[in-house]
Amino acid sequence: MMKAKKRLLKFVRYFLVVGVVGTAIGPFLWMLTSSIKVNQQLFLFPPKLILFQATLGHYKYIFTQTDFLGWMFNSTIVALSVTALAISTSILCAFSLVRYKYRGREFLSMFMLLLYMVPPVMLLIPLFFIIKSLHLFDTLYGLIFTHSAFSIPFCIWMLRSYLMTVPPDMEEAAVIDGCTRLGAFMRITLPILAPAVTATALFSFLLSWNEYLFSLSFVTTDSMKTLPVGIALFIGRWSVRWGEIMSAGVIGIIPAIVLFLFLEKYIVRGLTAGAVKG
Amino acid sequence: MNKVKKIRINVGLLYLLPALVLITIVLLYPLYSVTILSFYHKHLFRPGKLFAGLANFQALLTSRDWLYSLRISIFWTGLSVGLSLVMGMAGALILNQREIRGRSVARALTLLPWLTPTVITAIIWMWLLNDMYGLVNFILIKLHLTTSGIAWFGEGSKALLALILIWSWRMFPFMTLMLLAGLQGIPAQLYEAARVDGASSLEQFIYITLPNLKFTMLVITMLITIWTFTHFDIIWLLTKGGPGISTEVLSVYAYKANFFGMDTGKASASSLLMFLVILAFSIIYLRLVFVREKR
Repeated sequence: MMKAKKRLLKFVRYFLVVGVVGTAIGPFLWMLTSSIKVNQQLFLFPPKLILFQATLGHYKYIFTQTDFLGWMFNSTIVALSVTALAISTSILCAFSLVRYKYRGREFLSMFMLLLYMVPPVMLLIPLFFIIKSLHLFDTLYGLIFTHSAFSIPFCIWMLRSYLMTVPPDMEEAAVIDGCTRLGAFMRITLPILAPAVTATALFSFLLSWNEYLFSLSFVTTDSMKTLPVGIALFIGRWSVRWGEIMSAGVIGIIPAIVLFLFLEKYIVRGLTAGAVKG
Repeated sequence: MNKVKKIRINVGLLYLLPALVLITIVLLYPLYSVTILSFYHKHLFRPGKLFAGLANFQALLTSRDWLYSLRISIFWTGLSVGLSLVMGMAGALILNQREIRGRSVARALTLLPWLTPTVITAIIWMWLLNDMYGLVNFILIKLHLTTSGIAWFGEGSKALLALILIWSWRMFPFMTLMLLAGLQGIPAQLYEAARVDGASSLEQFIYITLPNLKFTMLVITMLITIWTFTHFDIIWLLTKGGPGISTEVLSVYAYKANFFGMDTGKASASSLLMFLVILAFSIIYLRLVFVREKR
């Protein structure tokens, strides 16, 4: 009798877990299956759940008949550039905020976090004018420029949190031996922080890749658009090409999936640093 | 005798410069600019601006549309945050079970909705909630909850409900993850002692779990409230504030005012007011996080 109850309990436990995971990834699975369904079977009600005719035609269409590849290229360029820019400036900044002492250091640190909280919608209007006056409107440079608005505070905050977990002892030993402080930092601490820096960089890449608002507002030429904006164009332009839209979506989340495989550990650690530990 | 004064600059400050320069251009100056703009009448494409004092604010605070936008924003935020919290708590409790194998895989998979681009979230749910071919309507009909399916985006209240559900789906992984981390920080001995004393699972939850999670819950609620209140993408992609203005939250209001109404001054004023609302939440969040850090 006890054994049966125990088994039932175990079943319920797994059922609940499947429920949670299913809620999270179910919709993505539906997108995946829809992306390879033949059109006649796609527009069926009741919808065919399994055992449908498959095709890669939708994928072929978006790659050959639309600017999809161009958009992917644009997104990649922007995201890589923003990340390079953000990481390089943020590492120096974090180094300064953690290893040096000066007045207002604490205020600056808090300020960086506050800046990350600024809603992009607020910056949209003035950035529009700034971009236009710098002749960066409708260029990828303009996007790289504006994406740093959220990427830099984020990177500073993350890198600062990580750096605070590394004691300065080894750096100080190197300085005594004749190294410069920056040199010691770069040669000793950075290698230790490499996984954390990589995670922050990947996260920054993802933030830029996924970004929609600025990319929508600061680029108007179709071929210059980034992937999210391009996919959104599909929605507006086609009312019935759902197969194609779904396949665009599947490709669009690949960076997110790839990165989350690497980032899972760091997301928990990085975000909970200071926010949860008590 | 000449006194040569040595100026000692803390070199640490120099390292701040690259980041600070960029931040000043893309964040600080725009913040200053949007504040100034809200006190002017400015057309989006015509050069020059006309000082307007408090005219924009006055117009907004007496505008039925803007006040409705404010109410809808508060409503949308409140319900979304509430639902995300409940879902997140449930998710965290379920995924925290030590008896389950593959917990880390489950935890990783659950994160997906939060990591995807907002556009993808939009297209997935547009398709799922499609009134003719959508899977959701199919399930609802199968469960006899409706006879012919719901036209999700055809009507204001349903559209808002859809948006709240979609956003909560997007946010709950973050909640789950954070609460899970918090749960794992609660020492098992507390539960052991409670069980020995005869406490039921519900009592353990109320008297051990919740108090220990209070800080975490407060912090993430602040964050999510800020993100939700100012969010633009999902609403714009799915309804553009429609039907009519039934889902026009403040961010959409400002966007439309600026790019369609060409009224940059009014849009700036609206953004500023929105910022002031969440500033309170931001400050609370910052103080919470920083006090913890000092300990």
